[in-house]
Amino acid sequence: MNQIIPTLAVAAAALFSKGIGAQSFFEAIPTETTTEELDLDSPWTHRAWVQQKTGYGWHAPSLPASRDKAALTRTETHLFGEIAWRKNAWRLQASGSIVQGWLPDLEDAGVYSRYTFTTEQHQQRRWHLEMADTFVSWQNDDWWIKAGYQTLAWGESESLKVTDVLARRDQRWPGQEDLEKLRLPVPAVQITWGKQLDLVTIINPLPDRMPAAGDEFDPYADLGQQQPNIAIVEHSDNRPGVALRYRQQWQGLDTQWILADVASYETELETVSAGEKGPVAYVAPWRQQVAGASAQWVSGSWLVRTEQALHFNTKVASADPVAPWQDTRQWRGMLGADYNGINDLVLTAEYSWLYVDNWHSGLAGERYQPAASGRASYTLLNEQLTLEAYAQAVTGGEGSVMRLMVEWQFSDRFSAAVTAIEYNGDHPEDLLYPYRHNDTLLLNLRWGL
Amino acid sequence: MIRRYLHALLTLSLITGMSATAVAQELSAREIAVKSDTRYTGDSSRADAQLILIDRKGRERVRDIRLYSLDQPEVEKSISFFVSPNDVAGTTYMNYDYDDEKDDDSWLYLPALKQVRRVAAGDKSGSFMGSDFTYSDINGVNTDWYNYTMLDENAEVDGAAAWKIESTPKPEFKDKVESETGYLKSHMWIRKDNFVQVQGQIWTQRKGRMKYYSAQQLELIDGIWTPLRLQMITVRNNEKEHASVFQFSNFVYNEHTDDALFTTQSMQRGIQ
Repeated sequence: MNQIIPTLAVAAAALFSKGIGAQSFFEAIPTETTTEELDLDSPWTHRAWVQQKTGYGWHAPSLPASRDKAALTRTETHLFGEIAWRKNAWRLQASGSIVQGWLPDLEDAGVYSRYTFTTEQHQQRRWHLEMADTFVSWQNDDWWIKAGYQTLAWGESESLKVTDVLARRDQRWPGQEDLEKLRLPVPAVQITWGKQLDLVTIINPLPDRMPAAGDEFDPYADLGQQQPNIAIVEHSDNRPGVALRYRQQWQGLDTQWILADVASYETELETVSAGEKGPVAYVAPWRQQVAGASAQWVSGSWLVRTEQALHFNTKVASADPVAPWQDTRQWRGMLGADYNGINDLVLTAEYSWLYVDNWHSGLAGERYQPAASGRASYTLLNEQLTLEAYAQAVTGGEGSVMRLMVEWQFSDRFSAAVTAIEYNGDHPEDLLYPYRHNDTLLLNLRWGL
Repeated sequence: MIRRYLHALLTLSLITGMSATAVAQELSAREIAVKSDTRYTGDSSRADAQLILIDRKGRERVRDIRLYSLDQPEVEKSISFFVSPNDVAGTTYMNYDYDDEKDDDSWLYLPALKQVRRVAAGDKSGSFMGSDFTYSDINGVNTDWYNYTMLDENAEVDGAAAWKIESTPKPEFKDKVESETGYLKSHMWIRKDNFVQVQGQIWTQRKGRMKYYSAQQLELIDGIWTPLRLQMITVRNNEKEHASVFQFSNFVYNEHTDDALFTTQSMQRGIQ
């Protein structure tokens, strides 16, 4: 009876009768989409997008960076592609991005010449391939083996690495990463047994991706100020990393325990020596051992999370910035909660800490170094609009980062996001103090192909 | 989630050997609602779906999803693999819906993070993947929390005889229902021949907004009545604000019984 409703009846309903008027809303809405196009049985899946990312720094950095005034920080084009194939127990996937940073080219062409780039910046920003997860996997009953480049996310803590020690990171633009690139894949073999026990071997991991000399987040800029023309030579740890994880789930509770003997992805300053062309600083990741556990517990609208880990042989900077880093034993912990009891709003807060067991006054930081972060994320208009606010107090009171983001999903293919990131460091000894003027406005446009 | 969704919204009971119409005369509003909610819907199911989101200007966004469900003695498990578009492709949602009063267990795998995360499932009033369906629509509700009143024993929907029943939360569950579903009360149209809820009118907490649910294109698949199209329209001040349509295809019952499909490892592996 609802298929055909006389116009008069609808009009009358709107005017006089809520009950009759309601009937029109039961009619089938015509849609352009048809299920005839749906083929989810194909062994092939793929996705691709083009992304244009543009950053603008609205202050002059306080570091001696290439950019010495308010100007564009990056204008990058990313072409991402992913193709996957599956048949029975087997899966193959290849994915990655071709990335081009246009600013040095624009500067060379005289189109945009607000500042001059170093050779290393040129090299780092020109066309390059960023590998994403690319692997082959096989599963049979209790066994699942996955080999190739893979992102290993073993922790969730945002303010401190507690158990998430297997993932490489991109440190070139801290706080500005896309969600997909918060962690980078590493060459690894993962063997899972019984859906609970994971054994991972990481092969020849590289250190975190670091900013080029002259970039505004150059971690060695301070060193360069003290020793002009210093060259940085980076070594990697070629020994395979090994990690074991056991997971157990109960109603309302997930837990995991981990043991890891892996190279850190961060690098320590090993030595500074005189070279033929000037001083040379040798940096390298260190070998660390980690024993940890984490748990997630849900009740009603609350999700409570914790991660706890002991880190052994973890290096910490010395109070003297040119002295070698020193071994420490650390207890790292995080306690956090998510609350999603208010419509489509998700509130997240976490408190984390780093406690140096064998602390002494020759170390750069304090014995107890707290950190915290908070996030409010609200989706509205049927997830077309996302508003997000995020704040993080960096470990040990070394500064803070705040981020505000607005994202609009124009269609299934096109979205745009504007993000403002502010860095704060009040005291000269703070980690973020040299970067306190690197506040950036990011525009992200993404077209699905 | 999807299990309950299939259970509560999609499928109809087979009341073998009985005339539902004949039985209908003797059933109270509560008995009808419970019968509609607890029909046999197969021990497992698989379906492909397109979730079509339609804004007030008629523009469509589409999510392609493969859904599996498994009914076990004390828990109903479901897993849904999102295949497209780009921004949700690879996302997987898994839900364990326990028969007793325990909260659901829910997990979400986000391919951008390469991580399975637990989801607090207490508040089900939030939008399901940006649609007009909420998690409470998808997961179903506990019929013990409601009073049911017969409004019309001789209603009719698309020429089929139906009951029109009002569902209101019992006073002791009013706050719980409102906080978990965001709904104040609803009117349900349940067909007499197969106990399918084919229409629903829902009063929401959000001022000036009403929701209209309809189940269409009923087909008998593997002996189970299955609506292949579900529609939810949000209406504000008597004007359509947004609409969502679940369009199903490739529906199969009782094919999968492997519990291993409903694990966080499956979520990471992707569509099966």
